[in-house]
Amino acid sequence: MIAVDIATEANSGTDPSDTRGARMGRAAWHDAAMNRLALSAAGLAVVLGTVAACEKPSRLDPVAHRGHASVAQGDVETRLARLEQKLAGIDPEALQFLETAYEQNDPSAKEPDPNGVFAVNIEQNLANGQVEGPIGAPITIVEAWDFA
Amino acid sequence: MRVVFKNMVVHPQQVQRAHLAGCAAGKQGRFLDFYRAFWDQAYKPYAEQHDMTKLGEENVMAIATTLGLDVTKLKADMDGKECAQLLETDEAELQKFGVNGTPAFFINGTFIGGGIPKEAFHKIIDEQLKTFAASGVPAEQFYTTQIMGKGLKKFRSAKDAKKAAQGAEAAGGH
Repeated sequence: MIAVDIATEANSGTDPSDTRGARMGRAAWHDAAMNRLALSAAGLAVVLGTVAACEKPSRLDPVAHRGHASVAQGDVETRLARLEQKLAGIDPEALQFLETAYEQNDPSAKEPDPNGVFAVNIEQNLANGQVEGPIGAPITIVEAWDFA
Repeated sequence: MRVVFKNMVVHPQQVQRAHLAGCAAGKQGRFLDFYRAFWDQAYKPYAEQHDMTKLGEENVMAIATTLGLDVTKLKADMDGKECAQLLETDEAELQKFGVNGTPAFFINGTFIGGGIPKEAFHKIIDEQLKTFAASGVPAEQFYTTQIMGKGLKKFRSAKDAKKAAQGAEAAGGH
């Protein structure tokens, strides 16, 4: 993660429009992506470990065979196929769960589109004289303000 | 360039009455005078002395009197429906576009959340001036036709924008 953060900082340069919030958003996205990658890697490791374990007899085999006779039956290819079939059934749910969790914490869902042009209605404010500068100016800055 | 002030009362217990007074001053054509005077004669001493009463109604009326405003009318407008409604409308309009705090800015519709360096402001304004120049639209019509007429009527997140761009790219590829 530190490497990602450093890379993000380096890429951000000194562009003043590159806000801290945006950098943090990108870093969070990288973190989430790395987490998902790590989970996928862990899942793959479990599958490979299981396959490797199937190839060598284990002292736990008799115990495993008693509890899960149907899983332990067949040659390596059969057992691997069974595992893959099982994973295919589980993965979409797990991925969906991860996806949902990611969506809920994705900061870009709350950040306004940086290229968006938002049509903020100012008619009432103009009518009430809450404006500084010429009425016909080509640039209009709408300021959300609070007296405290 | 013009700056339009939109109420976003984050601390209603402290300054709701002051915001209502700002609206009421506007009804006497003196919004900016009151706005500037409040910062100088109310907020500044409050910040320096931590004296909350400086933000209160008594000081608001004292400022209005100093400015030569019609205080009776000011009080009536502060208590009236129109100013209360203006504050509500302002807040609702800002929240519609994801604004929940101050300061926040829209420079010809481009959102800026929080304070940013002056140079960044300059850069955005320069870019907006180029857009304006390229449009060929008269300055006095620019906000109405280009921002209100063509701008987004509701909040769009960075994520939604990215999805839309990916969708368009995928559609273009097929």
